[in-house]
Amino acid sequence: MQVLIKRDQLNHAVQHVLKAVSTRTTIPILTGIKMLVTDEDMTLTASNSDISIECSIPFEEDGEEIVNVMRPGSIVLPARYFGEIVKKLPEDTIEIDVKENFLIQIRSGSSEFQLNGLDPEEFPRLPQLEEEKVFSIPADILKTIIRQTVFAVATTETRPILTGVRWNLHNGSLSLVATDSHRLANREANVETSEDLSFENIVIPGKSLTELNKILEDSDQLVDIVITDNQILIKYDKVLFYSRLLDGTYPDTSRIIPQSFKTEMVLNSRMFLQAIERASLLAGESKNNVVKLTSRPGEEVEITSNTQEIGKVTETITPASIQGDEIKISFNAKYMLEALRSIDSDEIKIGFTGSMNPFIIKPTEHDWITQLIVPVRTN
Amino acid sequence: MGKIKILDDRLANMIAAGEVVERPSSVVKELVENAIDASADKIEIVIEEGGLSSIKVSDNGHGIERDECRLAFERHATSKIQKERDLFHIQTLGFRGEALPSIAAVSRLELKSKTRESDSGTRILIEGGKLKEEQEIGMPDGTEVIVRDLFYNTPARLKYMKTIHTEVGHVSDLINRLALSHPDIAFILKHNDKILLKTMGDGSLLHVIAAIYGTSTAKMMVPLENDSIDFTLKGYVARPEITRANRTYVTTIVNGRYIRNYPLIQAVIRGYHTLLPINRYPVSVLHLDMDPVLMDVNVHPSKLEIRFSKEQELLELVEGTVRRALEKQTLIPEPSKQSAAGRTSIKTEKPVQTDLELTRKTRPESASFNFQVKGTKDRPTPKEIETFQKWVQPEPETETTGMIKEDSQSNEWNADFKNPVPDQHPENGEEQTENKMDQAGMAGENSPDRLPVLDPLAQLHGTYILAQHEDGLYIIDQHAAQERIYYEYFLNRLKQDTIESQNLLVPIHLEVTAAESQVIQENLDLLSQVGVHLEPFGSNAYVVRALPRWIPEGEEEAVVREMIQMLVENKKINVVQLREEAAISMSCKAAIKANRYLTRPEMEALLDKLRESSNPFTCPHGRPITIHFSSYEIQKMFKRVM
Ligand SMILES: Nc1ncnc2c1ncn2[C@@H]1O[C@H](COP(=O)(O)OP(=O)(O)O)[C@@H](O)[C@H]1O
Ligand SMILES: [Mg+2]
Ligand SMILES: [Zn+2]
Repeated sequence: MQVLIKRDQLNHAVQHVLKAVSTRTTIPILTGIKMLVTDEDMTLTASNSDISIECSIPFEEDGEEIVNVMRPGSIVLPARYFGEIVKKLPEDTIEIDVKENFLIQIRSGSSEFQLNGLDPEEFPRLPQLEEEKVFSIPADILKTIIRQTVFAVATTETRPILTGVRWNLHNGSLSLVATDSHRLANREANVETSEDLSFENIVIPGKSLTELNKILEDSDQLVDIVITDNQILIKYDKVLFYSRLLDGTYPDTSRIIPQSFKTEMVLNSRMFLQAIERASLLAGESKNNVVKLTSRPGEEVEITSNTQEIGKVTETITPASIQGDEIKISFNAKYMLEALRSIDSDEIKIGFTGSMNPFIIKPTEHDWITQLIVPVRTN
Repeated sequence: MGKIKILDDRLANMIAAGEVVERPSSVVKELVENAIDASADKIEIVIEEGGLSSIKVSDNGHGIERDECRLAFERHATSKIQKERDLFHIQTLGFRGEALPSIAAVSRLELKSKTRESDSGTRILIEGGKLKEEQEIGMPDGTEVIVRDLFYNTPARLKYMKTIHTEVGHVSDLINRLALSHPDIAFILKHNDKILLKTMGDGSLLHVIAAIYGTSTAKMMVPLENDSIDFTLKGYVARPEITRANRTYVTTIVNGRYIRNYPLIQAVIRGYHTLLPINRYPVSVLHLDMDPVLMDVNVHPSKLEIRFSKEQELLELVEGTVRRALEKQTLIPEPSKQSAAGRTSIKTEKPVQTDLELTRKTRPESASFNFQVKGTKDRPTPKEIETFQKWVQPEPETETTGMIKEDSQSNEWNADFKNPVPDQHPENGEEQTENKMDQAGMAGENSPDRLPVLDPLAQLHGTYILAQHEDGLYIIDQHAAQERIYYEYFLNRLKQDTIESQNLLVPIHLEVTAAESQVIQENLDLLSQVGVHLEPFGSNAYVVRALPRWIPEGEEEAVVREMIQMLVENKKINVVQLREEAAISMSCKAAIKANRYLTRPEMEALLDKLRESSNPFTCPHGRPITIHFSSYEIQKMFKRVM
């Protein structure tokens, strides 16, 4: 294999596939990036336990030549070094030449590198997916709905299914749910699909979605999504992004979200967020950053936090509106901050059903997003 | 045949003086040692109230002749030493000839003794050192000494006695050691009519171990045996899952005598290497035999401490023998020892059907797997492993900088890369032969020091691999497993690195204490010999200009400080130990963490490589890698078998 390639395009593609490279793994070849050059195109591929990313580099873009193939072929490059090298090569054009025994020569201007590669035949093949269940959604919306849910997934593997975001699709409406059992994020969105397409219990690892979001840009370009029994494939621009799906049945969350409330209040998002941020300043090292919210009808809402060795903080905030019973409830400030940051709305509505029950946070403007938090029991 | 001679004063003074009678156990010690010296093969010790009210030691030894009974109570009367030279050839336990008179001075002592040659025995009674009675009696062959009311005439000493419990503890420790030293002597120890120890005297050390530490511990003992020109070593070491909180369970016996020698104990512990958890110590009993010329037993009057000439040779023999004995074992801890204990009393040689070792040739596809693995070869080649390990060498979390800028650095890395040194790796060599064996379909490859070929079932909490084999369920800690694999790799590599120094781009500034500074100043040469180049930098501060290459990135200062600490404490630098620590730290960083999902092929690859490691049972920190539930235990838990 021998090619001349423009550094910026190569770097762009390498940075994409690097997201799927295993840094720590038990299978040596997965720490590499596979480069395949045919007479038609050039692709880079990387795989880890959750995802595989394939990124193609066109031979020509806007009339400019990007890749010049002297000799087609393939090689597995050591990702950790290759990524650094490409970033720092001096000239616009890079020559990659694969010699005997997978020895790779990389030249650019006056610098020349020799790297040991691995046999591309050993690299795992990407799955061939049946493209039966396909729908489309603009990249920016996909990016947003992922951001609004993925933070709520469980980060420990004790209940593996909870480390994923559950996707359901019915009547063109996509519903995403994530929960670590202490809080829950729910987001609905309309997608472009054939009328009869529906699916349930598709659970995508949170980690995969976080990586996907690093690749997606805020554009309205349509993303095609293919769902199979154990894989999801996202086709975006020149990227094919594969993720495994989690095994198992996602818990039924439909009845967890309360529909009627004993106390309801409307607050200015930014003021409330800042008040919670200040209240959690005194949490110190402790993980359980507990904040207490107290309100009586017609009065200001009071937020307090009390850390024994450090001190006490009291914040008051005037609600835009408040109705129902008085409430005194404690919750983890971190959950509240993450929920509030995910809602892009000037005003939020909080609905309580008692100090021991989960409460919800929603934007006032629409119903697409619901954040739910389970309170902390204090004595 | 008069056996007892009086030691001349000069000789007496050569012997380190010391108080013989400190507490009941010291009395017991002297009396039992006398019995052993008298070639007894049955010794009974009966104590009352921790020995303060009465100590009775009876033996079936050669006895004392009538006219010598009284002589035995004169200071420095001994039958055991003839000439000055003898002190360095001492084989018997007592040799000062001062025990009996000292004991008799602080108690009411009754001695009965009969030799085989005479028809009757002698009984004498001494109180506070004065002879009260002497008579002829009928009795079996042997000697019986009863010491009553110890310290009755020295109230000051009596005051120092601890609780009865403590005194009994001392006596029982003592008899345990003597029993371990003399498996051919039947010991019985009773306290207030309760039997504390009973050994058979059948010559089996393992039976003594069972009598003292219990049969379940005895079952976990691994035998060992080895010798060199000067030393013979024999004994048992416990598998590393049996550990204790202190070193006192490491018993060393030299020429039949229990001794405490710190370097020797350390050698045993080093033999366990990384198998022991931190701050845990093994159970072991080692018998060493050597020409008495090679030891000086008189370092300490209590005769427990000893010094060896040719110490280094001895320590290496001990460490190496212990290590090899353990390496031969399947060192997988099994759960529920208790249920397992009652099941087989002694492992008998049952016929074992050997079977084909069916290693993975193709990886089964799994629904949750991300991609299909292509290829006929399931194991990475040594070169692949080598290259891979270069790729994943731990680096600081921050982005690498200066990859190209620093030409020297990249060249060096390139050089490394091109020289994958596979042939110098013993384990790689093994790996290849083993591949061949697999291909040839060799039977019975399940040697006890290996893991069987395991079939992963699932992952538990993203942290443990559950795997099965015919003989049950295995739980493998994924981090510990890969840590072990990397540890062996890095250690090998570090060993190959010469003490070549690398100049530092940014010198390390080191502040030290005045005392440390002094030590550094004195040892600048030694430091540069191990590749550390320091320059003074004002008072109590140094600049590190160059370091050996094996020190892992980010740990430079810590390693240098550890070297200085070693200099302060031991006046030398143990590079081997430091490299080992470096390998441990590098392997820990490179290994997959807990709470991380693994695909089935990843699990398989890990299990296969673990199987090839030289010790698949404990991680370099000494924690277990693998836990095994045997099929039998599982059946038992479900009450499918009784
Ligand atoms: N149980 C015994 N059987 C035979 N001889 C004994 C026994 N106990 C003591 N003796 C004799 O008494 C002597 C004095 O004993 P001791 O005061 O303990 O001195 P040592 O043991 O140092 O010779 C011994 O040398 C030995 O000859
Ligand atoms: Mg004696
Ligand atoms: Zn460890």
